[in-house]
Amino acid sequence: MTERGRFFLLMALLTGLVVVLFVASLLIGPAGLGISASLSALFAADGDVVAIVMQEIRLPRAILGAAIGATLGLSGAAMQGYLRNPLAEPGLLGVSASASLGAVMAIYTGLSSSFPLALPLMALGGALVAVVFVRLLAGESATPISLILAGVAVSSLAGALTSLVLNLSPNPFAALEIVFWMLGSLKDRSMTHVWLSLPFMVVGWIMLAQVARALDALTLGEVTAASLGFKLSRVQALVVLGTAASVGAATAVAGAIGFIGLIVPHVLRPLVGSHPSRLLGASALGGAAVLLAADIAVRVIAPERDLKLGVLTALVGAPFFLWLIFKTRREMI
Amino acid sequence: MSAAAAPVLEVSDLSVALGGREVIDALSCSLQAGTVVGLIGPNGSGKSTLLKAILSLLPYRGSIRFAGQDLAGMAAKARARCIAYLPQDGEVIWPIAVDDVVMLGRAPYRSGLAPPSEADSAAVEAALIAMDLVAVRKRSARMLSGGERSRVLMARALAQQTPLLLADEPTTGLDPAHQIGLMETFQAMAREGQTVLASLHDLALAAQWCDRLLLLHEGRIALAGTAQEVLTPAALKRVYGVEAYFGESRAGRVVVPIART
Repeated sequence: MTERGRFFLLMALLTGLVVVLFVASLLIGPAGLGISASLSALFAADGDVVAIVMQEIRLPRAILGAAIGATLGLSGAAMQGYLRNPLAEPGLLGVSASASLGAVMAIYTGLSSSFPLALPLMALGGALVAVVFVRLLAGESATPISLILAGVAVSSLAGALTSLVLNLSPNPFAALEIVFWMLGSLKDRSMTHVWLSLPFMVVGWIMLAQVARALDALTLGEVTAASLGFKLSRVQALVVLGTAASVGAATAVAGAIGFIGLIVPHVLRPLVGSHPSRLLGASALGGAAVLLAADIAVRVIAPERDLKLGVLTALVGAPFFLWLIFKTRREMI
Repeated sequence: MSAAAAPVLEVSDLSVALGGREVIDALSCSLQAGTVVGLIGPNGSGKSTLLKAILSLLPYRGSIRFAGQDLAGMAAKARARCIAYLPQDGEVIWPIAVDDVVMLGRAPYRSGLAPPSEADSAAVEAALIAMDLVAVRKRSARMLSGGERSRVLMARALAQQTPLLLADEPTTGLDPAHQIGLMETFQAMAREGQTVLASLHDLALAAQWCDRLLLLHEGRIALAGTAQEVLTPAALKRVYGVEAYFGESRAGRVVVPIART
């Protein structure tokens, strides 16, 4: 089989996996509905209880799981390709930290309890502020290093402000709500959340897909990529804005979910012959599969305890990350 | 080669400032088609800067014309179909296969994510054969020796099929056999009508393998011409501050720096 054939086979397998997990996600929940009844209720026009559960609780959860997972996988692959570093991840630009800060502000000020959409909207605003800051700090013809430094600066500032808000929170309940939100979850998200976040994510995906060929060329270094006709300033703008739009929207509705954007591209890289362009699509599908699986797992493992998604991905991801560092270190020698 | 032919590259009155210093100062030169031109000069004389300016990677004043056309007005992709660049100690970050690295040279001809055209595949095959890489074409480009990797990167530049190749110290870090092999490749390209501008530190290689030399000194062309005309004791003393041994071999003039003056 040719390398191209193997790539299409991998994409087909990943697509199949995402479809299976998407359906599985629809079928799992405390209501204990039958398979055929619940799937037909998805398309039912009448508003019986099963139809409401399926259409307004489980469907948005599954859509967000797939879309946010795809966002994390895709933006992680794009960041690793652009920065040419297997340890890069979507949060590096400070977008997730700033979106979290926006959300935390919405909870702290009480805006989110009087107007529920204030939370995702303020989180999106936080992501926007972050991207403006990062672009300003890094400058127009920024090198990857200045971009990383700008991202680290924005991340730490947003993290410090988030801690300050927690510190000043009026009562333990507000603090607990903030902490729980930051752990990341897809519980009780509605179609409104889907309509609010999906357009930003899709715009981000389109921007990131544009840089596929440039990421391949960057394998040979920045000067060579520029000599091959790629405008590096445009590539950077697309990577930064695409990541900000998609990851900002993802964080706005689900909180910060770590490690998927770091690990999924890393696992899939050898399977796509290490091509940064091919890794984009594969990581999007892989990220969707992993997040759907994780969201199924939190519902199956501890249905009553509301185990948070971010906790699960970190519990599984952190040991993997350690292994990754260990392996990279060995390869350096 | 007739002297009347239009030059492939014509640089006039070029100035490049880096950090407030004029690294290239009102430099003019031209390259004729089908020649290997050696760009020589001490460290900091502006060799790499000149190459990067020709690639439009640095802001410059003055004009650079490719086959009569001003490069400043040319789209990046169109320019990449005219001028290829072989960087100093080229890197390959991800472990992609040798033939995929070579295919990257076809980027200026490809659009979107479409599969490679027949012309793309043919160019890659020809480059792999020319650089004797067919046997290792499926190996990871990171798992090669220094000599093999330099051949892979050269094949990448060949696959770009441009009339002009700029090479930044391409022989640095190569053993003598690989250095000669690379210079032979440049000569073979010149016989096919391509033009090579290579910056070199090795004066012996420059003397033996380049049709013409441009001696750079403090951002200006100190001397231009054949090795006989450029590599004179006086010029080496003035520009490099060295004294050299000059000899004749069956391959032509031999220049070996022997002492500082």
